[in-house]
Amino acid sequence: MPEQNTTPALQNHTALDIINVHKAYTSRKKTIHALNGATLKLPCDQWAALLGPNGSGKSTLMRLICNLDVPDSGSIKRFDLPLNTHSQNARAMLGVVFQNPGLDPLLTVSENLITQAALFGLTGDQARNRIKSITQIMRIDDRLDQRVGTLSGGLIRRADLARAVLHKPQLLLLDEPTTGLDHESRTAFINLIHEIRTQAAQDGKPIAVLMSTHLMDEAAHADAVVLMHEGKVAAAGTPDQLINSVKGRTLTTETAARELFDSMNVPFTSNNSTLSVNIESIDIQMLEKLAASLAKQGADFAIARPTLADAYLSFTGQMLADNNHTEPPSHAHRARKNKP
Amino acid sequence: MNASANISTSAASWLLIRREIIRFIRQPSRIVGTLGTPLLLWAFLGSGFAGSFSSQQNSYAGYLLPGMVTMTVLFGSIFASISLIEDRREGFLQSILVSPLPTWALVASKTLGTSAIVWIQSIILLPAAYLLGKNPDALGLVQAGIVIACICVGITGLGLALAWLVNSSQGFHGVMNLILMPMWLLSGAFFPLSGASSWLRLVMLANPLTWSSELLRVSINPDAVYALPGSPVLGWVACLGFALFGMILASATLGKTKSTRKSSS
Repeated sequence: MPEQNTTPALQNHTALDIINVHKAYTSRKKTIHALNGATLKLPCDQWAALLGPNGSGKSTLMRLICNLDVPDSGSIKRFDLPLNTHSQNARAMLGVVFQNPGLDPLLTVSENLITQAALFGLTGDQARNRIKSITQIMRIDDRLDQRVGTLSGGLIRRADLARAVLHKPQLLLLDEPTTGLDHESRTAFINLIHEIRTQAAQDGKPIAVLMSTHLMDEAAHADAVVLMHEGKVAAAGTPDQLINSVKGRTLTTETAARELFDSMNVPFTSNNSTLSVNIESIDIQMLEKLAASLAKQGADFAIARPTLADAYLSFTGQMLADNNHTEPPSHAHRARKNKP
Repeated sequence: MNASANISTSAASWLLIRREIIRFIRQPSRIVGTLGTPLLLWAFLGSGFAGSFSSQQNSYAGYLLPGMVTMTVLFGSIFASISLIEDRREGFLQSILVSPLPTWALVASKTLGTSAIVWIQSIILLPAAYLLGKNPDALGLVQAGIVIACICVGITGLGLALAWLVNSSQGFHGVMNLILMPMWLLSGAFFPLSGASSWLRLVMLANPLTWSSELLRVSINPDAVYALPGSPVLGWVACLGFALFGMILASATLGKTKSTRKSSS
């Protein structure tokens, strides 16, 4: 399996330097190795996406970077500072969007943002001006007096993103930030990340973004994609680099053909509207038979360029799985005992 | 403007306290639940046991008053502790934990904000002492206010620590029934220490709420005699010690375990 442990370096400075991190959890005599030597480097102006299915270690890595949990071994540095540096400066460099929005549903958007601003040292006119400008960028400036609990999921996510970047962090962590959103809202959210990065670059203070996702169409927006598999970085590179590393072309068709693929034992990847087969993975007779069967069913199909899902399959030997459907926010939670 | 290293802990803490107050005002069911249950119990038990409890100095309703104030504190603190579990589930708490605000300031804000709300709810019951003919003087009312504040901080700190460890509102209700309710029942709220069996008397003396309730009783009833071993100074030590214990326990628990939820991947 080809392995590139670092994302393409765009600058000398690193926002994140993660070296050989291990983390295991034990419950009821069962040990789960959430991270098995994850290594990755994120330059300070880059947007990287951690792409992998549930259980691949993305959220655990995010928790460790946030210092909400501690690694069993290995090293994590943010802007060359070890995580046990509990200085206010080190924490103030970080903005985080968690899977569950960090807003109080009983408070208005404005009340939430004022509280959050104070946590990062912004008060008075400074806070008000910043809230005004960031809510304009997020297009929620007309919702400031509305209680968060009464907003739609998409608006809550936008308000949560405003909360996370209110203090102009230099590193933005997004842990599956579009969970529960429909396609349109997800696209709008991703566009906002582009806007935030553009604004930060114009201000001369670039922002590094690390986003975990199991959706390949989201990951494709990033400068670099890090494929997470069984707690390790299976491969990393630009979306094009990863896709180009997959040999051959892909047959893409509609999801109605799933039963046909299953009956013919054809390995495929899927998202919410399409199924894909790497035609290198099947012999020519099988391809002819498949095409004939699809035509007989009246299903549309096309031979196209591989996707990140194909790259994931190629590097890990496992499918990224049915992954473009939206899921409700998980409320399951369980405490872990840490030694932070 | 950029990430500021010089956060004002007091300003941030005040906004977190303000948040607790706003949340309370916007949840009328909390007000009804916190005040309604003790008032109903007081009315039913005070009337029901009126003929069974004989004392020339005190009616049973009068005897129950300090216990009902303590119960109001207990219920208010329980609601607030459950809100900590909600904060954790909704992600609000995580956003604070990754901010530059020190953990002790978070704990202090939560404890003080909750205590302030519960304190106001509890002292609303004090004028009932005049209706029952106790007529506490100004010093007695001030003492009662301080005792109630100590109970608020102590129980809230204990409740927050338990809520943090238990991690689910269902589990917290179990712990509440196992720890907090017995603490209240054995505080002398229903029956005096002098009438209890010897083993139960020891348990009651080990309960900090017994000492607080007794101080509250003598504060709002000028005719009452302090009925616990030692002088009232010992009662004050236990009362203030309980408040300090609550704060330290909450700080230690929340500071030690910053983990808030299991990751899904």
